[in-house]
Amino acid sequence: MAARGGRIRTSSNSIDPNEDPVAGLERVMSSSNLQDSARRRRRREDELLFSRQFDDSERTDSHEALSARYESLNYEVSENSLYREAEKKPYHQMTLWRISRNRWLVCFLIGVFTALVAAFIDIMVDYSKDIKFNWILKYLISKCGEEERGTTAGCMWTVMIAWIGYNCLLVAIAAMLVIYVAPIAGGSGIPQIKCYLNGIAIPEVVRLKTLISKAVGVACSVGGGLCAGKEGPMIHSGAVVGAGISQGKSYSLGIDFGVFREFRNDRERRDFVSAGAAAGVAAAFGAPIGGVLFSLEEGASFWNQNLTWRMFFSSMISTFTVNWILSWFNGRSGWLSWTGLANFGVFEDKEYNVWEIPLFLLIGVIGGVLGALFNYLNTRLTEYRKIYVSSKLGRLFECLLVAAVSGFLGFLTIFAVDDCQPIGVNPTATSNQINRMWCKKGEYSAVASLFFQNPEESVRSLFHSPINSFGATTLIIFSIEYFLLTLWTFGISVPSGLFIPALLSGAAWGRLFGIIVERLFPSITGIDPGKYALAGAAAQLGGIVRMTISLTAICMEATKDITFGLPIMLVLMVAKWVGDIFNEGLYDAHIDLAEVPILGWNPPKMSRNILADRVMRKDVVALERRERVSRIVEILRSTLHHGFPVVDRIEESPIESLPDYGRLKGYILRSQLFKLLENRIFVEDGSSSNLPADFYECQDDDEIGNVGGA
Amino acid sequence: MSSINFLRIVLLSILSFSTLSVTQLTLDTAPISDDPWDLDGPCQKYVEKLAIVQSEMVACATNWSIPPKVCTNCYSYYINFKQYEYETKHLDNVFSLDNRTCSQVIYDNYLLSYSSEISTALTNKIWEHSRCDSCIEINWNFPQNKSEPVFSDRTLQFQQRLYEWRNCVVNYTSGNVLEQDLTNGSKICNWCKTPFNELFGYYWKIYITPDEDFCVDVETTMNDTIHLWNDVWQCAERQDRDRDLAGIMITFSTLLLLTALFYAASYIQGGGQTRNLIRYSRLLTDPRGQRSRLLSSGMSDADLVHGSSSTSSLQYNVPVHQTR
Repeated sequence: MAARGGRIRTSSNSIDPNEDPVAGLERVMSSSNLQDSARRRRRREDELLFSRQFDDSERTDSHEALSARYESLNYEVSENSLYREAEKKPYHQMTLWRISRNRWLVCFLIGVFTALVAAFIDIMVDYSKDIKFNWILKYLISKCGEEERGTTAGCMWTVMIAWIGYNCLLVAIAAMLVIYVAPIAGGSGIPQIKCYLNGIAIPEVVRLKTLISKAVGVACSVGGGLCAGKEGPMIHSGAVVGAGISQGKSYSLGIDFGVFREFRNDRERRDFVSAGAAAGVAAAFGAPIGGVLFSLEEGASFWNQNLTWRMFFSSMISTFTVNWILSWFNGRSGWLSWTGLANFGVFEDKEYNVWEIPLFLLIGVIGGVLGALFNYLNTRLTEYRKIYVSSKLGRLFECLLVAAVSGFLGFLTIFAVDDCQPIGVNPTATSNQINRMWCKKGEYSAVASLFFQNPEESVRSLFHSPINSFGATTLIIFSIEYFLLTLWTFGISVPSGLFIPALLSGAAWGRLFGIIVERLFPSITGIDPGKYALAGAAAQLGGIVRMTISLTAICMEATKDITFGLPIMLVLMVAKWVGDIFNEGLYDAHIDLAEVPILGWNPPKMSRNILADRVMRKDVVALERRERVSRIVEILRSTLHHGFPVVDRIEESPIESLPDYGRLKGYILRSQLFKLLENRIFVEDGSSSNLPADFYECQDDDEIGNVGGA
Repeated sequence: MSSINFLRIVLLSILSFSTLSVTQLTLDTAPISDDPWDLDGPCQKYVEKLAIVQSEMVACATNWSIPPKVCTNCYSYYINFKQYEYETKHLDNVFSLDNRTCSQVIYDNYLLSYSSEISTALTNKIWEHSRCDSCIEINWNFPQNKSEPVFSDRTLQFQQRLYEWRNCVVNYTSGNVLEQDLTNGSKICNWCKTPFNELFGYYWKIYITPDEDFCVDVETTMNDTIHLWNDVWQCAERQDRDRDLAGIMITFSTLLLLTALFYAASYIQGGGQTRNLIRYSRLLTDPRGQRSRLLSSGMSDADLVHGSSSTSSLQYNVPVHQTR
């Protein structure tokens, strides 16, 4: 059945109710087989019923598509004779102890290297900011100041062009890294890591070149002023570090260090990837507990207690290392209370009252609704991109367009909103040169201070600025613009996270909410818009990604404050409930869009009584217990599957065109077939001297599938 | 430097009255030194002296609180106070009646040490919050009682420029500047624009440099000056937005056009490569040709060989599965 045909047929899915069903079916069907038609009619009626019940007619075919690019990872221990022999060896206990020790060692290294990546990103962003503000803009604006005394021609727009040009340059680097070097490095990476931990081999997701593209790319896209965060990519980077270190070799470089051979299988690597993701969160937010909980809540599908401890260890080491490096970089070496990449400041007056709880709940509801809206719109946009913006040049151009518009919108807002305030009112607004544009001498633009800071700094000033620092209009305009820009940015081909942009737009409308509350109840003192900004930020992010426990931990650890734990929990829970009424979390939506066959915790709705053989393909490539080498080679060449069932006989079926498979005897992996062929073991009792003597030395990882065609 | 000395003289004359009265007050309310029941009698006079220097500092700070200008005005009191605080902390040779040093008595003996609380407040809340170190650096020399204040260069430069501007304003107005009719403002604006621009330029250069700071004195002085200039005399030049309007509009329309064109063009161009959707749940009979020869092993060798030669290719067309 051709693709086009299939799509057209279901898009005109419903048979006209006024039409005779049989005639209608004949119109639709291509087969004239009577038996078939009866079956099809039955199924079609079922479907009709289904679609009537669920009003599901909106969904088009490609929604349910699953790509065949993805194969599974293999978590089974292959209990072959080598394995059994290894257990009998006298020093087996020692081997096990050594492996266990190495696991901790690897986790330590994961923490250290993840922190190095995080520090690298942070330092790059810092330098980029330095160049942007202190070299380009300082020079241009002071030049403008001199010129404007005499002339009448405007000069500020040259500053704007320079700003946009610089942003576009950096974003172009990020986009080219993603488009031409490692396509999988685009976006936040959390969906891919989630899939990987679920047991799906996403090609190239944990390669070194992905890590490099991701780290350099995210530094460029954040430095280039996109509405992007470095936290999501940090999680992906941590996961790559986890996978890379535990394997002790690199495909991208073609180097094999020959260490940690016992971890060269999917099962061990999965655990280290979980630890790496946790270390990534820990480094990004200075939140080791949040990191472990993130891996538990969002990432891992496979879990055990030992893993928890090792993850915690990785997170701890990662936090420690990143704090140390950054404190050294900022000239206060040894000052370990540095807070990771995202520093949200500390709340000074931390208290809330029981009558504020309904307000927090309301914020949760707003966050859930806005989050669901965000997910809906972003999903639509991503679908559009998937179909229509698929050429490399097109994607590059889109990135540049987003960069240019993001930069320009900041200027446009300062230009349009006359929000100049005298300097000295808000001590937390840092004194960037650019904030002065179009303001009188000695004033700065409050909007500009939001737009032209690093997003983390903007979040911080929304949380902690005095009550009069931002006008209501400023906040409305800023939150809407940032929401839309984030919507547009997430999904273009640059590494970009969602956490900070979502927190920022949430903090803006949360602060607005706080100001409104303050106006409504002027008699009650102690209303601080900062804490509503915090609640709004949590609600917005929770509404989009639908995480609860890990976000609570991350928010509390990033603000170093446990007092607002309860409001944050409330807000996140409510945001999740409200959001789940409308749609699923953004990461899940993106997994669906990537057509990854992820195995969720629950079967899809209404599928409990559908048997597996109705959904699975029937033309199974199976092996018999005795096979010709030529057939195996042929199979390995022309399929990408990671494993094949072994059956006792495959015979031509007299009735159907599919062969008659006998009984299932077992399962053989692609990698095992490769090993057998490589070592020329063609019969079972062939004692080949090529084989390694130790089980733990001969494990091989399964990315070998990519070599299949060669 | 002369201007600072001048300032100091003015200050001292202002403060002399208040200081005197405060001193009087301190002595009146002090406990009687020769209380026979007081073990700490010998230390009492040191506390009293500390009280005086503290209250001098407090008075000065409060006097200079609108606008806050503690650093440039109260540094002598601050030095005095810190000096005497140092001395009370090193009273190792003076003992109370139970043979403890007076330093111990003053700072460690009781539940609360008011004097130490006030000292901390003066040091942290007043002096350090005002970032005084950015304007005055004091070379402490406690043992010899010779601590020297050194005004930082940028403060002096700022002050010089401030006075230039003020002189300009005074020259062009007669008598009291602020009580004059404020409609005069526009004239002043034109006359004294250059000194103001220089003042502002100098201030702004330091203000935006990340690691350089002014103390609160300078900041508030400048803020008040800006306020006077901008809002009271209305001298501020409006940064004219209209001049940049054309540039902004051109950029705006270009970007809008590009965005619209890009998405429209990619929509018209249509959706990339065609996709190969297979619905396994609907497949009843035939698997596709490419794969069918892999299925059964009971085929002849010739068939296999033929198959491999014709279709073993790297371009394995990736199909897309469909669950429903």
